[in-house]
Amino acid sequence: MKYSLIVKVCPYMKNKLAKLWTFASSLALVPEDGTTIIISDKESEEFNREAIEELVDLVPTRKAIVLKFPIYRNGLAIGAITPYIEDCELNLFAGGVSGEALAVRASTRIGGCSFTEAESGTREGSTITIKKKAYSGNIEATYELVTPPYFISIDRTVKEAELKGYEGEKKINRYFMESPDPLRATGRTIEPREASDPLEDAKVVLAMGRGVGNKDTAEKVCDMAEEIGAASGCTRPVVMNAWLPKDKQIGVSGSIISPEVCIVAGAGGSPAFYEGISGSGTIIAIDTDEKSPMLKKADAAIVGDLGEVLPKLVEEITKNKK
Amino acid sequence: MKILVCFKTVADADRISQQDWQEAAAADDYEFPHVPTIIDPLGESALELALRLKDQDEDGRVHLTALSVGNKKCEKDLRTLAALGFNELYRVHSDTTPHPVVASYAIASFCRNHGPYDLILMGDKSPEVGSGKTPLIVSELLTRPCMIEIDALSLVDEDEDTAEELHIHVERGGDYGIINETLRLPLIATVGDVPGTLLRVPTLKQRNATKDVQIHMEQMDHTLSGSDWKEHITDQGLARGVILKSLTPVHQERDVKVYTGEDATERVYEDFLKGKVE
Repeated sequence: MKYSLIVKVCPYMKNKLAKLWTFASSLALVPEDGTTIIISDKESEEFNREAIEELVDLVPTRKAIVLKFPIYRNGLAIGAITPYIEDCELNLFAGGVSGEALAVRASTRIGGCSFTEAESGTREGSTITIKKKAYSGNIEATYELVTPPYFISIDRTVKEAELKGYEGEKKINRYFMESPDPLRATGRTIEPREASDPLEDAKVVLAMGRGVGNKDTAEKVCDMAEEIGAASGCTRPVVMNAWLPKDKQIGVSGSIISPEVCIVAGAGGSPAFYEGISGSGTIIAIDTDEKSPMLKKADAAIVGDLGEVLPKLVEEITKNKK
Repeated sequence: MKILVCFKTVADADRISQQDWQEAAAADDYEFPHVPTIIDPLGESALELALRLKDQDEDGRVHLTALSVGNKKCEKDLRTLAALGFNELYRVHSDTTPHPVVASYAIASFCRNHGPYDLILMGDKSPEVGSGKTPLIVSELLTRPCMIEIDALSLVDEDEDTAEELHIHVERGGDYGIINETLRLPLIATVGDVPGTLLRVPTLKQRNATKDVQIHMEQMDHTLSGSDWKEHITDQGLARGVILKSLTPVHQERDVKVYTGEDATERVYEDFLKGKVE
């Protein structure tokens, strides 16, 4: 099956390409039939020049194309990649909003069918079976795609394969796309974000829900997390109330984490949030409501006010650390 | 500046129990007619961002239209939006939740019939299927640029605009930091999770002032007439080429041990945390 893998240059592009290769492998696709398309732009190259060349070396397919734009716009990217993908039976796009946008827009333009956030897939001939979560993570949906060409963006939860790079002679083409910005942006500035340790790497996480009640308590819980050497995270309502910043959000529209220990305080346990912590080794839940769904989704549940229980738990942990 | 904001009225997922999901799976019916409804969370943020543009508007430039593709349940939300300052309210009737492709064609057709709109805003994804396809397909159908997951919008100074070319200032999170730029309209923009953008609540005075406001309703057939949407949707209401094989409730429960009493934290530490948090 002739196919393409499409990835945009970004800080986690190597991980994204590795996930694409996992998915491609699960569909029994072979390197000789594939083309990897790397979409770059002037701003990305300022941040990632060496990493881009490393990525080209790691391309798992026989062919690779690098397209460089003065500025990245998904509409421009679609126009540029169309000639390279329109005769592919399958096009896999890296997870994230860029990949989803490209997959859906390419399908609308070229024909065939699109699918976003595919979590797993298998292939029989030219029929592809895909699974993904739906209804805020409450339901697992299984679909069959039967009419190629297919345009599939993969989900963040797909595991990363080990990337070694195509072992044979690779054919690499590079093109600079002199496309003017259709949005004619002016006054464009990029303000770097404050670096924070990614939640995904934490061994212990203390996650809070709207039960914290206000910004002050949320910040106190963050301090408690720091005391026990844990990263702090939260549910969507905490972010939407502006009690904590967006990079603390855990769940389907935040971080997907798999710490050894996750302590959850004051969260109702919505499926969308639980999707973010389901990979945790041990889950401890604290809630005043003994009927809270979160208490059934944990390994250990303490019924009580987090304002009383959490400090005691922190004290127990720090007492035993010394 | 004509702004269209599209939203959905959906069942409040926080009020749907595990048993409700199992019953829905057994009946193959995910409409949940007896569950209270809300505006889709990301659509809510889009509506609030649009109202903030109106807040900035001292010259009466901004005209807000709200559109929902759905059944009568969305009318309560449209009345709320009228109370909050939306100028026009529309509903394209659909008995059940339309497929994203159908919704896309409906929105695009609506824009051709009632527009042009300088800015079209909607939530990035809805909580149901959450494909995120609608704004992207609308973008292709209307051949308009589409910007994903914006965080904030602001009006530019009036003298930066001409009758032929309007602009808007957009802030969003990029791969390398927060991007601020002034963009030429027309534009479609989606809104993701943006802190502090819960929809404001109208006062009783605002509600009373708009209680007789007209909600325009169109039948779906009328809105879609002339479009080729049927080439893309099967009789079962699915995208051509895609067959839904199964929907299975996800079981997320663990074998929980409940601790109560004064020494609960000590016992939890001993049983579950010792050796793991040192």
